Amino acid sequence: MSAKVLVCRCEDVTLHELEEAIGRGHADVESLKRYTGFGTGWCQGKGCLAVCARILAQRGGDASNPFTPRPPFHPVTLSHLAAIDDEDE
Amino acid sequence: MPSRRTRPPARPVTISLDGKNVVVDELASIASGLVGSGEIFLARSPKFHRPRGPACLRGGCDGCLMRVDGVPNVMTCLVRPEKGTRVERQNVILTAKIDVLRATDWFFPDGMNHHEMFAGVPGVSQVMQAFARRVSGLGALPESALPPREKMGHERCDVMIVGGGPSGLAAAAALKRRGLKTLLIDDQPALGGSLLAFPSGAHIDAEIDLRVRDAGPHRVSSTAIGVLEGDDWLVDDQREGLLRVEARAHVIAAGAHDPTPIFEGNDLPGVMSARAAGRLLRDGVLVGERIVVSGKTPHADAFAEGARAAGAEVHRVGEIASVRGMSRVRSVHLREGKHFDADAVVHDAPRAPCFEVAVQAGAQTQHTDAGFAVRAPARAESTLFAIGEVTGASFDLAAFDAAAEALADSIVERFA
Repeated sequence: MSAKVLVCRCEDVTLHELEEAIGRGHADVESLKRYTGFGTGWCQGKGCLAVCARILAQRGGDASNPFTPRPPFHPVTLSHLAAIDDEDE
Repeated sequence: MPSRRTRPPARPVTISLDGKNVVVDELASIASGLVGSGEIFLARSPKFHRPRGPACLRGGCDGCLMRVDGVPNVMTCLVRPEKGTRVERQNVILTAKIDVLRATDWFFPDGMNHHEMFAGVPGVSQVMQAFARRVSGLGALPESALPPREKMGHERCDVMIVGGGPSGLAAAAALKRRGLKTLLIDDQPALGGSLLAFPSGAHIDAEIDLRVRDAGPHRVSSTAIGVLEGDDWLVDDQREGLLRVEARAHVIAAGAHDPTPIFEGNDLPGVMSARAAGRLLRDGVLVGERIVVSGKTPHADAFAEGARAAGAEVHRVGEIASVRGMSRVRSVHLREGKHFDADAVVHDAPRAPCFEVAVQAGAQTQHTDAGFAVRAPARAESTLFAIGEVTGASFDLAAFDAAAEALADSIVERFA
């Protein structure tokens, strides 16, 4: 296997890519996420957000805020979502 | 077969993996059963098609995504097997273990930069896009559409507790004792959270049983997937479908995600968290014969002790520089220069609070080295509360119990 350090498994984002993006001036969590794509895969950041934020802070970036997680916070089938009622009560 | 069972399945059941029969335990998850039968390489990553295995076994990673009975992307760590369950590896071209798309891993040694790769070259970018769409992604469409659920459930309670680990269970019990109507939900098939990651021992079983009994009404395999409006939260119950839960107050006890260790080869099958390896051992599954354990935490200590007792060779180590192997862990190389032949790397470190739903409900976060800790709103009229590892606290049963009493008192006060 090629010698990579993965910071985001779901989207195959490497430490090398993350550091390069920080070097290009992506100095906050949201901007770094949009450039590298970490946190946009199957787990939506459960595994990668903390480690990427820590590395960003260590390199002098601003990790004070996370990116905004959006619902659903766990994969849901369309079959289940079909039951949502939108009636006013 | 580096991973194996330490005892026969409590309730043996035969399922198939890529057409081959495998006997697993009906009482443990599909992923756990497969690891017990020697299969740890269960999935492949979407871009580089790197081999993946279970890393967390609690529904927080991509390591056990498989096609189950014709349905793609099932988190097999959250689903229990039935007789004849058909499990297949997905995301492969050719055969499961020889995937020609692995070559992408070698072509892009540092990673893929979508922003510049082939961009602006006439013709080439279109060809590359078409290629990328074909090779990347997860799984293939289901064999048939799942029938839509007709109706959403509805429940009402005084306090909804999100998370059935030790802090959520303690909070539910404390609220119940004060006469409040509670509903506790947990995304795992069994309650207990991090307690389930201690590799057995009669006292742990008794501790969990006691706490679950005191906690009152609950739903397992149910995830709080979002806040609708006001006091209504949306819950997805894996078996029964969506549910609208109306509560006067909410307690976030969602715990914490396992940390991602930083070393070369950190995504190889066989690299997993101490809680994942502990859960396996509790199911009667040992992740390897030669295991490297990094981190000094209650879960790492308990796993190392349990694995030794089960006959494994265990090395407690400091900082790992790299883990090597083609499709699973073969050797571990330390910063200090030493190396070991090994089948598994089990790690633990401060965990990252599961802040997701809390933030949508109005909580703030505070950044620490471990992640984003939840700070419940301080306003006197707020009905959102947080307890346990989600607040950044480390695993400490006595501290969780004390915090649960204080929290229940403040909720009673809020309702008065």
